[in-house]
Amino acid sequence: MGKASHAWLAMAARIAAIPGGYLLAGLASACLARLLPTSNVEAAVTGMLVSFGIYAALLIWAFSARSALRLWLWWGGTAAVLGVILAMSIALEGRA
Amino acid sequence: MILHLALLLLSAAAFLALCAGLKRYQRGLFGRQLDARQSRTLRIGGWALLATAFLFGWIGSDFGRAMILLAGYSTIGALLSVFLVTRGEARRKEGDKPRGSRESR
Amino acid sequence: MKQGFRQSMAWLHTWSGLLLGWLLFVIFACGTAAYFQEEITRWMQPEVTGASDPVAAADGAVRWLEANAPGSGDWYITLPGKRAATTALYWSPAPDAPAGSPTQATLDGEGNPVAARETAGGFFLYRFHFDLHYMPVLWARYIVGIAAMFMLVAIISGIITHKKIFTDFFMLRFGKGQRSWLDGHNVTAVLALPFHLMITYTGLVTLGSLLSPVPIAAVYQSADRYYADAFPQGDTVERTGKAAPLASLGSMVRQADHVWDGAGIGYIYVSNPGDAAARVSITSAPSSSLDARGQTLEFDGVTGRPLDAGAPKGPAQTTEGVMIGLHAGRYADSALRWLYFISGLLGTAMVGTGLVLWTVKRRLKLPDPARPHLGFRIVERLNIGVIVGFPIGLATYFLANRLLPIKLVERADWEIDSLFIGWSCAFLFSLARSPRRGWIELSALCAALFLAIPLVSALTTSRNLPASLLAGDWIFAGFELTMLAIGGMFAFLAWKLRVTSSLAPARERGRRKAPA
Repeated sequence: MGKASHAWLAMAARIAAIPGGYLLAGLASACLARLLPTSNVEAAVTGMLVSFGIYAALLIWAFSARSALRLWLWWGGTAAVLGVILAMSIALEGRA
Repeated sequence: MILHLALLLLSAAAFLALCAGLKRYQRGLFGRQLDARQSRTLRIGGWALLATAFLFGWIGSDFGRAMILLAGYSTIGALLSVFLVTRGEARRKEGDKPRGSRESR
Repeated sequence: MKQGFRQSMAWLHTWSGLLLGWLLFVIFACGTAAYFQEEITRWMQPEVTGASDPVAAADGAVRWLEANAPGSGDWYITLPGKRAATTALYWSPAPDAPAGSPTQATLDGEGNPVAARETAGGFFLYRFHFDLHYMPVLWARYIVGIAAMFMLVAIISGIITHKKIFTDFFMLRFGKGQRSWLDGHNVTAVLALPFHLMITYTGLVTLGSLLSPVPIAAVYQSADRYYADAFPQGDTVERTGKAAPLASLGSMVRQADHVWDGAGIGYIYVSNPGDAAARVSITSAPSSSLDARGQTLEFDGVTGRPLDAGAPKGPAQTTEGVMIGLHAGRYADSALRWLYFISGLLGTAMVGTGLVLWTVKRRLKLPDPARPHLGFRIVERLNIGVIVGFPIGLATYFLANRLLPIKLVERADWEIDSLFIGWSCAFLFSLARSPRRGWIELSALCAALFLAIPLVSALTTSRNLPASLLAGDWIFAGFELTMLAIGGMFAFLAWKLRVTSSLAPARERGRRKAPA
């Protein structure tokens, strides 16, 4: 036990960052798209264009972070905030 | 066509200068090390040639295309430099080799 | 700190590169070939000759469609351009057409069906690099998208972990084992780094609405509403059921050509032909602008008069179009196209050298080199099977084009199957031989197959290499010379491997005896 299982857990936490990062990047680009003061199609396309860069940056972060716990705390917190912003925006203004 | 030829030559010259300005490759290119001032001149010259190439591209077509052409011809120019350095190093090795040693490659 | 970061990036680079490396090798190889897809298709249909006039081609296409596909729903017409020689037609079948009736045709410049061997041509290689084969295209695009994301992370982590990226820029030492492979990987990667970054990111953007639906779904209730906003010309108009002859397509083409100042016609979409609600959409040729989506003009199908253009595209949509344009490279003229091709070859070599580097590095760390662990053996076999095996498949594809019977049913599918048959045979062969032998023998076979292509072409058609060179037919000559060059490269590889393999054991033994 101990060190070996700790290493596996840390690795699993990082692997989980692959789908997790995708969702977080999606949330971030979705919020960006909602908040941009341009036409609907422009906002949607902008969100899509930057989403890949955001995702790549998140993956670099995930695999270089020394503490997987701290990483997921940051990600979880950010996702919660972004989720609230997104939900409020959609509730208030609806979708095209 | 003239534009492409000019960009090719300028990029090739630029990268050769940049390559020659780095101590590591001077033995391969010249057979000896150059002093610090010569190295710096070559490096500055290299960047100047690269800037010239970009300006040529911009005048000859448009900004976007100039960037694309420069990226492409930079690759060719750099490849040429790699080829020359590698050949120079190989030639130098052959010269250094004592008589009677087995050919290894 | 910094060292921890670089080390973690080295780990990330290794795994993001290795896990899907073989798929990325194939994607890069086919994508690179796709830059000359029209030329490849022309070589694969040697019966087709000559250039054509877009106006005559458009009118000829309409004549043929009205005669052979009456009552069909919509027409898609791709006119011949500077590089393709034929008109490609697709149509949605008429409501009363029997099942299995054809929905596509290829015409020559006058509107007559081309009497050439049926082939998927270079178009297949282009589609394969994102649609793969033998699977639904949706799955393939998700898989390719994931691979592209792995590639992007591999590139970024590679840049971060490459300590002496500027001083090692020109370094390429031969005969030094692991160091040489690392140099090769570095040179092919760094020298065309802007291209590799660009091609990977723009590749993702090209499949953008599929891979990144979340931001779009945040703004739009449904995909249809997004497409309606993004592609306003796609608006379908209902059939009225009142018959009305289609106005001259040729004259509409001439009008578009005039508006675009000779930029060239890309393709034509006709909805409801023969009906009073007919609409014609003409899109500019991709070769005319960096924006892949180009410009589209709409015409009333019955009067032939242009319809209102609508609002111009915003910066985000233009950026998207330009990114797709950069990736596809259709705007590129001859010289720039060759630069794209060379950069693509470097990218393919980057992936290949990376895969080989992994085994070379690991081999030194093996506790028992005579019996490596399973992971190592798998990587070693996959390397041979893909890096040499896939080119063998490509050569088989081109040879099959010349050797299969002209009138064979489903000939195009058989050509494609030949590619995979050739590849599989090479793969199976590599499993039966020791890795060292496998590399040498398969490289030699690959060389022989590529060198045979111009020979087989000369024996089975009237268009051979010397004749093409004399006639100034650079498309044919260029293709066959490239085949010779690739064959020569694999022959050189086979020879080099034979020469060094006799020395390798001695060197490895020497290295093991010396202190680490």
